[in-house]
Amino acid sequence: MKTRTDELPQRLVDGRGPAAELLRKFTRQAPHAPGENAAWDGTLARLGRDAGGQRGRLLFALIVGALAGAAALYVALFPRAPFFAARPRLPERGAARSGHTATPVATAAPAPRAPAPQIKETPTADTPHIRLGRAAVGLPVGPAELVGEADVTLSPDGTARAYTTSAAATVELGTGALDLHVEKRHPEDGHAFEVAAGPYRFTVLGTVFRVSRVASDVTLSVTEGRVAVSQGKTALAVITAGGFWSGAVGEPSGPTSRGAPAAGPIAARAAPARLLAARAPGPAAPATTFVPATTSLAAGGECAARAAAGDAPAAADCFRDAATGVDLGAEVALYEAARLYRDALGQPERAVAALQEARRRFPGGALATEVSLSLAELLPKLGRYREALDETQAVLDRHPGGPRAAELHLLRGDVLRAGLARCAAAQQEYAAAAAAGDARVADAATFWRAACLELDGRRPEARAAFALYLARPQPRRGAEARRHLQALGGAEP
Amino acid sequence: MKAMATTTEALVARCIAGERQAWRELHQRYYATVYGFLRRLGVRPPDTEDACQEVFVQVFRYLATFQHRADLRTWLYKLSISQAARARRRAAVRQALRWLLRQQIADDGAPGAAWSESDAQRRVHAALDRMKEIHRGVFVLFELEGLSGEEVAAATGLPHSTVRRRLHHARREFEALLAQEDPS
Repeated sequence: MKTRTDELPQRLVDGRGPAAELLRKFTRQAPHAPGENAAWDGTLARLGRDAGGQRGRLLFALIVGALAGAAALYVALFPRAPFFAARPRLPERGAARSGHTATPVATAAPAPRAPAPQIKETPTADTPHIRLGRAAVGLPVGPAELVGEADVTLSPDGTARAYTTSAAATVELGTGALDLHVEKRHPEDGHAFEVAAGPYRFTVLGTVFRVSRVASDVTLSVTEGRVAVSQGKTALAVITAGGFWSGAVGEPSGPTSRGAPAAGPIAARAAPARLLAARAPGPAAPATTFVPATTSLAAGGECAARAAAGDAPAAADCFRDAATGVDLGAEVALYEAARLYRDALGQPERAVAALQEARRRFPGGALATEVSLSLAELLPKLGRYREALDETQAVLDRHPGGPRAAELHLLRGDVLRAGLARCAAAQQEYAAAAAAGDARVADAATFWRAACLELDGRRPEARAAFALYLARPQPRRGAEARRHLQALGGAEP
Repeated sequence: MKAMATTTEALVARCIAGERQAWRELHQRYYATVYGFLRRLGVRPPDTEDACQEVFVQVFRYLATFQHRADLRTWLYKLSISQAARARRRAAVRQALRWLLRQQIADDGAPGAAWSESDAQRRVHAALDRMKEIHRGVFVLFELEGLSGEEVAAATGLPHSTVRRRLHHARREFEALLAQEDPS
């Protein structure tokens, strides 16, 4: 009967090692099962309620059925409601150029391959249709269709303008955030679509993405497809779906007019909320109001303004309040709140709580790596060394050989050495950091590796390691290293 | 073993015949087993009693259809596994409702409030809590409840090869979780 049991390994509890010992202790102590008598009474009472329970289940089924019927009726009556409406198909670029009407085809379009969470509005008859020309035109706040090019949504605090040449259609983002859905581009088309924000250019390779510019930060997050980032003639990166990129603008200013044949004024200023409300479509096209879709984004702009004005506590509260919903705006707001707690307010516990919330709510979010890195830096300061090691390991697993890998190895080394007094393990991390890091990281890693060897009592190896450190160009802890080397009886190289 | 099996069969027969005392005996005999198993499957104390009662309600409701194709204990494990999954889902829904309603209710199942177990109990439970669900069931049945491979396969409804593979991964996960908790 038990022949196949032999194929299973010996039970852990019968083996050796710490896990076996622990399990032996565990199994010796049976779990305390409280009050069998009370449990029996409860079971009997439950059996007695059985008929009632079945009636309850029937009632529940009736309620669910009624709700499902109501939902079906709603879909039948309001087929263009935002939860159910199909996304309108963009008109063909060639057709638009040849002067065909640019009214979007609002029916029978297939659902997009993946949801595009950053574009919440379905263009309606009220959505402005903008036919681009060589003269730059300001984009209105809210959704707009750039005929034959893209659907865009400008945040309430945003300013942007757009124009086209034979080579490319360009949107210049002054401030705020811009969500875009651009039809796939092929190089052979010879007509690109790009967004300029400060010195950076984002060239679309067919995608759904967002560019935002708040104060001196320009950020890009890509939902679908790929976007190429460049600065001047220098290609910086190609960001793929789920990716995130950010850069700093030297001096906050309006968008550059480079490339605009006729640089007109930016016409679209941030529209006040009452104007946004007035944009809400009438009964013929219900439930496509602007405000709900970008609430967190709009609020994020206000919060950033408070932070820029130096009111960090109010800005942090503001970001925290704005971090509702499930869109990128909420994710960014939560991350910004954490940054303020950490950098401006000196509240690492609150920063960690906000970052952990961000990770819980947005596990695959655009800022997932940034959140992990921030946690990895903060947790050791709170004495939560084990969690810090988990965080750094998770990032290293996700991005082996990534640009922050050396820094993370250095951080792990510091946590193991100073936090957990595990110098042997720390040395390996320091060695990895020294091998891959820049001068600053390699300097610190080489020094602390030598210190770890000394602490471990490996004097000859420690002597050699300190000598190696002193042989580096301009070692930052040269004097300290010399003292250690002398104490170890070694000679400076 | 044979005597025990016969006794169980007789007990089941008496239960099916409607003998109230037999029900009570069956409950007394298996209550601690079911309770402990549910705990090890990660059902926390406030919910464990509830889940345990639900298992026995199921037993009494469907005992007449129990045809001894499997051991009664294996059947109890099977019922407990599905009840544990249900309890965890309920806990998740409760958590979501609290979040939605912004209620600041303390998590009565949180470690610390109800932990009165020894260090070994605490550490093993903590590791079991963090194990993947698909690993936890197989691990608990084989390593802690002492079931054979065939019995684990019967209780989980999995092929024997899957049991073996999951057990292998479950052990590695368990040991890694213990090591994480105790870096020394």
